[in-house]
Amino acid sequence: MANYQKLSINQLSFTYQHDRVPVLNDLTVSVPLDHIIGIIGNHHAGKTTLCRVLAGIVPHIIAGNLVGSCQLGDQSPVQDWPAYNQQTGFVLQDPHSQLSGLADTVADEIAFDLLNHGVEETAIQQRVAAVAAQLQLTAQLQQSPDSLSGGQLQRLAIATAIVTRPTVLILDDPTSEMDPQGRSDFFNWLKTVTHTTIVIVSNEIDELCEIADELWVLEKGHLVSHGTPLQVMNHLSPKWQVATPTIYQLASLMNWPLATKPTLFPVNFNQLRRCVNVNHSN
Amino acid sequence: MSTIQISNLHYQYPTSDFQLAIDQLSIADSLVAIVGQNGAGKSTLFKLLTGLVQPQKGAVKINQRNLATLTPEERLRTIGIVFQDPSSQLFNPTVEKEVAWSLSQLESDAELVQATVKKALASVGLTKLKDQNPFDLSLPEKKLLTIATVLAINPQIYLFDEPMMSLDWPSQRLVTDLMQYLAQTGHQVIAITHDMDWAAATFSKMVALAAGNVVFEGTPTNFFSCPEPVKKAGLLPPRIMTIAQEVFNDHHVYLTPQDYAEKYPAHQ
Amino acid sequence: MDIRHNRLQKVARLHWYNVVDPVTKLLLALFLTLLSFQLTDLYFEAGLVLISLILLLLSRLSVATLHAVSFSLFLIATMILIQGLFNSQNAHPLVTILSITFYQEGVLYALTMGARILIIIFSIGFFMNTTTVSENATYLESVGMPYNQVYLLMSVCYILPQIQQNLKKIQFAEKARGINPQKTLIQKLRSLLPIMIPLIIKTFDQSINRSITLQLRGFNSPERTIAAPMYHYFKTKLSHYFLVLMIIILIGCKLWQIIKNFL
Repeated sequence: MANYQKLSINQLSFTYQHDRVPVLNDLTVSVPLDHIIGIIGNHHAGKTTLCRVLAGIVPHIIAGNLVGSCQLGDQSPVQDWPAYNQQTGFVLQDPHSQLSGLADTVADEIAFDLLNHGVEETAIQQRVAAVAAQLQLTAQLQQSPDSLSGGQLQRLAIATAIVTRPTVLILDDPTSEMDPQGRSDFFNWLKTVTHTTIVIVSNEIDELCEIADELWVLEKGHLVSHGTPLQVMNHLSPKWQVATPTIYQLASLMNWPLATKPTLFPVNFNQLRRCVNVNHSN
Repeated sequence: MSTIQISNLHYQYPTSDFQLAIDQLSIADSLVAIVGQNGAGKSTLFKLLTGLVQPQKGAVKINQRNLATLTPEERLRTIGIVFQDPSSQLFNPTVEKEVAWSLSQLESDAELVQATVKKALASVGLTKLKDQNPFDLSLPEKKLLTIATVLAINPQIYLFDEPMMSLDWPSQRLVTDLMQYLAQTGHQVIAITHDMDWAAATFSKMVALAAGNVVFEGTPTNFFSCPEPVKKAGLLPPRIMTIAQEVFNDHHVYLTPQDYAEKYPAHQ
Repeated sequence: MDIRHNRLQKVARLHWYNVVDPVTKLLLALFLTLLSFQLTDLYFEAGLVLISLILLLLSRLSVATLHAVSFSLFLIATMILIQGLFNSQNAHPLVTILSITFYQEGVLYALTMGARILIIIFSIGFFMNTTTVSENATYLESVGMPYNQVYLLMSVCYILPQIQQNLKKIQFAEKARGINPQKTLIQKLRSLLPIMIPLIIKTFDQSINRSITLQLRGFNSPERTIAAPMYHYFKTKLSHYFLVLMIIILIGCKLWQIIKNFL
């Protein structure tokens, strides 16, 4: 039975055409919509492919054999792709590939999606300006996209994905080329986004533990762990070779477990504050 | 250990207003991180340090010799370069041939070449993939391969541009260990990075750039103890310091969680 | 403020060639080329070279055009040398330098061919320098071409600069990793060989990624607002009809000459 308030993946496997080994192997998981889901794992884990499934790129644009189901609310990227695609924003790993190549300015590049959706010119103006302000690209609006730095290009890629106000936002390692300040601004902004299901692949485990409602750990195509960052980080297998957040490292070194759950160590600022208040008052 | 001496260096791109200007900079440490925001001049300095791009004014000298006067062979034996984007650095049909490519230009003894290649591949853990096409590797594997191509030549100085980018956690640890090993065996490792946690934990010297100028040079502890240059370079302190400040209102310098744990009794 | 069509900026940047639409420019280049092949008189050829050169000089010159021009001049010089000395129809000596004799027939032939090359380079250079990919795309879309076809056409144009960019990166890395000085033309060509395959793979990869993005970004959606042309062009229909007519006449003449030979 379809659950209209959830992102649910059921026994999902995927093998690329001309490949024998499945890249995703029997994934089953479900989370409420409008949550932030962080995906972590090492190379060959299947992170990018999972993003592609969630965006409907496989099997619609890149061919392969998909088994099982993937459902977001009442829609499926597999079955209702054109309608689903309208509500989805996707940011590729390589920001250069995100650009249409047909725009002279950053403003035109952002407007491209809105023109495709048939949005009116006055509304386009407003929305482009608003998105540019959100992602600190206002000063670059009249520049050529080719003149941007790697970090700015990643912000432009994100701008083109969110300008259509998608209800699903899929981000494949969106901050790799950003500097520390840019990255921190980006995650702070991401935290403020509402009414959107966000799936983000990232190596920034500290930031993910701050903002994600749910973490999925992939290893060689298998979903080996999923749950809240607190649960996942406290039950890692050394075999997966996954990085842990600084707060978790610190708390386990200092032996500062959570007061309410003494077997678990905190993974983000709020949890650390709570457990430190208790420990320090002792 | 070699010394890199930069004096009155000036470089400007033909098509932009940005200019890099460094009056004096001397690098004699074994593990050096060059840090700064996007657009601070890190990549420009990197290009000048490769010796393949010449400055308009001034010079980069290595052990008193101007980089511009080195022959290609000397340059190859002096500086090994690991670029940010591995896919534009690879062009051979197999992983093994890729590693042998540069070396066989310097060394005619085929057996020696083969033995060196084998060793280089083993030290980055790519021995199993030696017959594969480099283009079929994953991004972290490609990056490890580019590092192996430099290891095979064994230059005095290793120059890395954003080495942690596009690596996953196990390969990040592998590369960090490798860098430390190189530094211990008398090489000089210079890395451009904007990963402050990694820079603080790994390097003995930091050079911070902002708007094309050097705003700081010294140890990580010194760098993070003065908020001015950190702010000027648009950087953030290591995460452990932010935690200490925000949660404990503790403004000491900490480079890693281990560092915090060691200093904890003294700071209480 | 109008952030997408900043009129003030545009007025400041408007040049005479902006009022000529891209299709007219392309037809003009085709017309001049065909005309140069139709004519055999060297004076007419020289006139055509001059006209196309003026067109080029009145537009913005780019480094790429200068490279193309210098390369074709080099080509023409070798052609004059070879044809002047060895053309099979050589009969009348033109000039003797250091006991080497150049012949009229060969030099004349080489000059005519050279003029045609220059006309092609100059007029295509004029088209390339005065239009941008996005101007061409919006114009074609505004005259009713479906957007996916426009994109297909443009991606062909886009692939060249992309290859060039990738080539530059890979060559830099090759230089960094090797000891080959790459000073002479032969050395340069030899250093190109090993990097051809990665170059093609990389460019192909980028093209696939770009086409994925465009589909995700909904470029072929039926709701797409058709773009308005970027500039107000001068008498587009008239110039198209006129140039197409002239081109048909030229092709007709050529065909007639061929048929006449058989009669």
